[in-house]
Amino acid sequence: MPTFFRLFRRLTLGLLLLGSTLPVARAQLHIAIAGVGANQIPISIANFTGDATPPTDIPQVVRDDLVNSGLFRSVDAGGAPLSETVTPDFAGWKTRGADAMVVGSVTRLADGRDEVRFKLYDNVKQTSLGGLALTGPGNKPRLTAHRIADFVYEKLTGQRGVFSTRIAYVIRKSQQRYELQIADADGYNFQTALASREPIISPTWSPDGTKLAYVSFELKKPVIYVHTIVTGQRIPVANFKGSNSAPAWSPDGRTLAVVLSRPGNSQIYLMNPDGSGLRRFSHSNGIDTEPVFSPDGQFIYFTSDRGGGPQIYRMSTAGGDATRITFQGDYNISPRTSPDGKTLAYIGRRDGHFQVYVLDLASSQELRLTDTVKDESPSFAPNGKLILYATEIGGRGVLAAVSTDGSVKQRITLQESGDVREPSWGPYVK
Amino acid sequence: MKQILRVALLAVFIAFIGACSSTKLKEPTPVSDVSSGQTNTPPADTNAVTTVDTTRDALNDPNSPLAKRSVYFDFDSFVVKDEYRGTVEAHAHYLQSHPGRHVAIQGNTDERGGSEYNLALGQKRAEAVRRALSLLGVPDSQMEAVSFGKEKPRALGHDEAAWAENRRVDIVYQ
Amino acid sequence: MSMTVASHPYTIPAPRRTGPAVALAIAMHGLLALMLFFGLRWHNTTPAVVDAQLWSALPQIAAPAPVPEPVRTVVTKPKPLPEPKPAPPPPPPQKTDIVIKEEVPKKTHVVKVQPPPEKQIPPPKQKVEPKPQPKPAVKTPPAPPSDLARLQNEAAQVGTALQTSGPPGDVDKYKARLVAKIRSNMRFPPSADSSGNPTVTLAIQQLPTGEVTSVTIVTSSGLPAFDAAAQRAVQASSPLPKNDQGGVSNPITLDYKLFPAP
Repeated sequence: MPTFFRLFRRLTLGLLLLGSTLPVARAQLHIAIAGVGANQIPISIANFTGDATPPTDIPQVVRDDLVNSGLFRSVDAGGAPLSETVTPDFAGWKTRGADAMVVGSVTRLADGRDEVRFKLYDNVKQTSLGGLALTGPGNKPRLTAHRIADFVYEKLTGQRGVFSTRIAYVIRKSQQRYELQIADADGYNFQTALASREPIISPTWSPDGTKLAYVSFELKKPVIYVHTIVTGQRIPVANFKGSNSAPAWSPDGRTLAVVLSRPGNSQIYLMNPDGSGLRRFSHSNGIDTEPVFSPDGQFIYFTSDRGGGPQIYRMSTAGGDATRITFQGDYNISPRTSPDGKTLAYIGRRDGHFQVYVLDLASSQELRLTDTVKDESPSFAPNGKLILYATEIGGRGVLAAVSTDGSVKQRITLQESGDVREPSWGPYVK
Repeated sequence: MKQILRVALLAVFIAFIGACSSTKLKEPTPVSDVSSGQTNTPPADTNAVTTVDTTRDALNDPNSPLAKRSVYFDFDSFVVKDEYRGTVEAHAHYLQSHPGRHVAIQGNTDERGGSEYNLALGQKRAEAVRRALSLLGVPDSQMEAVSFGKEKPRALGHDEAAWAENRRVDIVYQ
Repeated sequence: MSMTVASHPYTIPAPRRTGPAVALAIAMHGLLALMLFFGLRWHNTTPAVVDAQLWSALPQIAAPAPVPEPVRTVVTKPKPLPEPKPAPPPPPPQKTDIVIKEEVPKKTHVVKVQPPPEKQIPPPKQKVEPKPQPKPAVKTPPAPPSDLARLQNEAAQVGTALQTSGPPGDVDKYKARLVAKIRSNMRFPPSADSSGNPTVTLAIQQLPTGEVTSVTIVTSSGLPAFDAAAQRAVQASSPLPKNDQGGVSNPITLDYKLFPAP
């Protein structure tokens, strides 16, 4: 036995030394990584359990919202409904490749409304990221689904979602039928705010989302109206002699910038949203049009051909000299400011192509975002991540969206047929 | 004497209209009426009657220069070309002599470019025509220059012919 | 061994002669007891296991006595080195061990020892006197004491030598492997953020198997969603790749930037 003991000890010592000679666990290691392996977060949205509004409707809308945003990849969850009361099998979902998952349930309440509960889980860290209980009308599952998608989007990307917002646009159904419509951001659930025999252009949302200002030709000349959406009541706030166009709201909703041809040439004026308090803003002998306020209300950007061709300029709201902002190409119009005020979007014409560009105002770096060639009317989403615009595909006017870095491109399909133009993205829903 | 003058003026006026009219007008003949004893009038058919029709407005006359209501512009141009001077003058005269008439001067552009900027370009063209009329004496109260931009094209094609047709100012009587 | 069973059709009939059987049974039990005895005792005498945790603690301590290291993570996992003897902690017992053991282990450790110890040679000279021998000890069977001494030295000097033993390129290759795997598991949309280039610093703890035991945020990037995505990327990369010698570094500090530098 002693021999054995010795043997034993030698063996273990030897193995110990063996281990010791391996460079096990040296000092602390420092590594640096930049960039990502995949641009999309893989997520599973399971079917919801429940008795009301076919529970599959809501998860499908959530899936579509997240996938269409371009930032998520859907991992099939199988068909089994999963409620939020049961902790998922994290290892199993992780094996399927889903970093996160959503489970939930729908319950029809006594008053006809639906209560939807859901939970968002991180499959890798095996924790819950939170959830909500939402109550909504039983016949409007899409809105609840959009709110779920907003929650998931914000938790996993850190940015606020815009799935619950609305857009306005003008659709021309025939040569004598124009409609100003408001729809969900995904193009569903449209409602008509104005129907007319004559064109409608430049719709723009008030900052609080309750009104639209637009230009209507129903009086056989361009006149600016301010239209309260819920009631349908509207006032012609600018019907001066000549043309009245290009309305724009100040961020506090208390001022409207407009373009009037009273001096003979088109010039920018400011007024109150009821039409009173008119005062001139721009002073040039050329065309000054398309005013738009910066988000802090300090500046107005506008299109001017005072230098020859149309370029974008900026002036303090208090007045003074105008500074030129765009220098590339000989035709830049339709300025729009991002919600954080750092980026300017516009339409630039180069080689006969009209395309959406963004300019970083700090560095003056310009980036072309679109590959379509007849773009118009860019409009920022309220989170500043997407730009909605009108373009022409196959000879038809359609709406499209592109992310502000150009990486994600979307087509917005509407439920009505006709030429669609003049889109405007509404603000966050309060 | 006065009568002769009146008749002569009338004759000149008829001659002026007659020059554009397709109906053949006779040579102006003095109307023989109470003024007997007038000499120097050429012998004429004393039974002839010349019609003066006040219900006929020159505006409705397809042969009148007023029938031309449109002024066309070159690409990226806002100048009324010489070939349209006559049309503009005709309308100027008409408006001056018919102070109750009003016109809307509607500017248009071709389809290329943004809506609002094209609205302003169309306005520039309308304003050019309005100024021309104004310089010819038409009061501002009878005119309003407005623009449709590219929103109401007359030609729906996507070629140069359609574009040329749409770069246009229309004078519309109201 | 006989089992007592109730009336059962398959009852094993009792053996005719029980004497030798009993003796054999007792002998086997005794052997088992001996093995258990030594095994338990060995367990008791060795404070947990020498493995990653142990080694990582050494740099801070700068010489002997890795004994007090907490064993927490170690306990739950199977260890690659099954029997760490009392060799590392106190020198005296080692001496006795050294004396005891003569030749057997050398074969096993000589083979593996050759590549690494080259770097270790100079420092030991400062630390322990009779240790110029480690190098020859590696090659030749005699001079067993130096093995353990060298072990001791390595333990002592880990704090000072801030590099892995081995050719310099190894570190870079190891880092590259880690970077490649973690980045491939990073699933986060770059367009999600527009304010500069968020950077998060993570502290990664792992076992010698490469299994990640914890990923904590040392410095947040300011974008919690990005921090969480980086943590997920590390956890999804478990077990982490090993270096060329089959070992791991612990802990690892990771600076993760969303965008590559332009």
